[in-house]
Amino acid sequence: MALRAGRRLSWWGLLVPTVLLYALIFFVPLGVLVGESLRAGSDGPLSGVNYSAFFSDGVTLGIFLRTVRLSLLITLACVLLGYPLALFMRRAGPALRLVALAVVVSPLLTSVVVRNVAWLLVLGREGMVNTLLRQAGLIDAPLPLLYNTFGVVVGVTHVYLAFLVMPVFSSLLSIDPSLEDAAASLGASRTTVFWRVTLPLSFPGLIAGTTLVFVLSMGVYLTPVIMGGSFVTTLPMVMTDLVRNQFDWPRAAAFAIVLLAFIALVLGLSSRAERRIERMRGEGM
Amino acid sequence: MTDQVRISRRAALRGLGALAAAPLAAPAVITRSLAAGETLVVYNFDGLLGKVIKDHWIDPFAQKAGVKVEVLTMQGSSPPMAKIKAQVDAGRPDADVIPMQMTDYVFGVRNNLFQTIDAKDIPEYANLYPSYITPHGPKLVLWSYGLAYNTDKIKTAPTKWADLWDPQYKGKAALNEALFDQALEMVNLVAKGKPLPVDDETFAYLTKLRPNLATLWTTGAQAEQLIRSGEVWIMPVWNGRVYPLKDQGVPIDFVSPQEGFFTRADPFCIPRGARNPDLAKAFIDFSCTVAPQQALAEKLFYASPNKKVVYSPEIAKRVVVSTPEELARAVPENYELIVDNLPDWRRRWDAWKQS
Repeated sequence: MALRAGRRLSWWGLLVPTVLLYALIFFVPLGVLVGESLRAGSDGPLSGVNYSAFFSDGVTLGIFLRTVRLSLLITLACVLLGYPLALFMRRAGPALRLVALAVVVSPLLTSVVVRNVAWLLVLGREGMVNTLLRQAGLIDAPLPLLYNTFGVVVGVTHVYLAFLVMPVFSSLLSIDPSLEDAAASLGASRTTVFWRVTLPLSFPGLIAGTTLVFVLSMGVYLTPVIMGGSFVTTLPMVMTDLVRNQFDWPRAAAFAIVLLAFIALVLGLSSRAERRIERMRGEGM
Repeated sequence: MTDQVRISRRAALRGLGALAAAPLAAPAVITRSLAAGETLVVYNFDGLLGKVIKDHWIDPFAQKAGVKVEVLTMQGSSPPMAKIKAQVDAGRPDADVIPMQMTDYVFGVRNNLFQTIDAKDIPEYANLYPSYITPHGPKLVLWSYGLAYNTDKIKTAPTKWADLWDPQYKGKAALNEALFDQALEMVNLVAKGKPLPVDDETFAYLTKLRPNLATLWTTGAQAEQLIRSGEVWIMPVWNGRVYPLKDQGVPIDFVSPQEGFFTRADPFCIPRGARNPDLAKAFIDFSCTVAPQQALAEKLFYASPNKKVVYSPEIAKRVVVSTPEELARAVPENYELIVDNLPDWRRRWDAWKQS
């Protein structure tokens, strides 16, 4: 008994370095942030005024909802592009798989500024796409591809695609092909096999991937500044301005906490969905 | 009882010892701070401006004073105020000299972040225009805000801010988001002939400009890219961004608009608790002198508050404010009021962007 307790304790001991590190670089600053967010102005008295401002100042809530909308659009774009790609990678041979993976991951290895400026050259009014379309006689006036929501979705999807493809790909790989063969041998068409077998079995990866992309997109800052021409305003841009230009750190802290709480909620919902799927599968088998 | 007595006696002895040692130690401290090997730490701008200041202000000073100067590069021209405030409050700022933007300066003064600088410590103050001397340092690097335009695309040069509203520039203009307060003042100049107040009329007039706006930008590098790529033909920008491009052959020119232009400058301040205040003052004094000031005007076309600086006719045109009369033409700006109103203006600006 004592031996087992001791062993369990030493297992917990493995956590110590991480817990210490997180306490130092995450939980302590987070505590400071919460403390700061409860002040009315720097060095002001305790108050919830910064939190109520989020909902009642007439602008911030709107920007937050637009940020959610933008993140949903990015997530949708990632699913539409990423899921077929992951399916392709599952079928492809090792060499092709490696090439596809390298292409998807490569944006993560480039600086965000370089990537965005390259997009400016492609999507700008005098950029590659518009020039080609105009020379082909398909359009008269340049299409507005940049400095709007479309531009931001393109720029962010380009990078975050990897975060969707990876989990979906690994969850597709773990599907036993004999399940699909079985469905086919029982008369299911290829589309039925996909909708009834492959897709549901890849849900854990899809949920993980979409959650990751959505959560990351909620914090996007530089791409809306460069490719959205600042007309696409996200909550992190509001917070940066509060810190940088208005010196209102308590309010920025409160907004950060609200964003964090929202993200925690999304993560909670996502892990609940994943658990439910696992339970359903357990019952089915 | 005896223990207590003994301890307090020991403490008293220690105290006496420290007192006795102080006069001996003091000269050592003084000589160390003036001797070679002491390091002055200054914040500097990034990009071309940072390079000119390094070559013509910092390096010559280091050589002349025989000290090492360590440079901390800022992002653009924005000192990290959150960090600076935390460091000053903790009594250990990481730099001795920091250039401030005017709104940062107002914030810094309100939070007691800077040392006051006695005029007698800066002999060169005698040659500066008095309005460019603040209690916490001289306002240097006078940049002027006017209109830049693409000379290939626009054959008749614009002459006034109101030209931005010209329907022929539909989707070809841009504004600076980072200085949106100045953009609002500019709109007011056109709409009502004076920079303030910012009200519904201001935003209504701004909405009329919306069809012309291709984008907003936040850094000078972005503005440069927009002009270079032909994405934007006309925009308010500062002179020092325009002329170096023109000299590289980019089809661009600068006009100071009829309604009036804006001139801003950066106070060079010493944070409270700085480690080398004397060296910092010596550096600020040197920076105010003619040679470094003239160099900045000739290389990057930023004017100087030093009356002794002489500009050639071509440079005089480019620095915009080469004489006291020109300086007086600049639109007066009330930075205290701007800082007070910034949160409100920002909310209205953000709401306008979404409408």
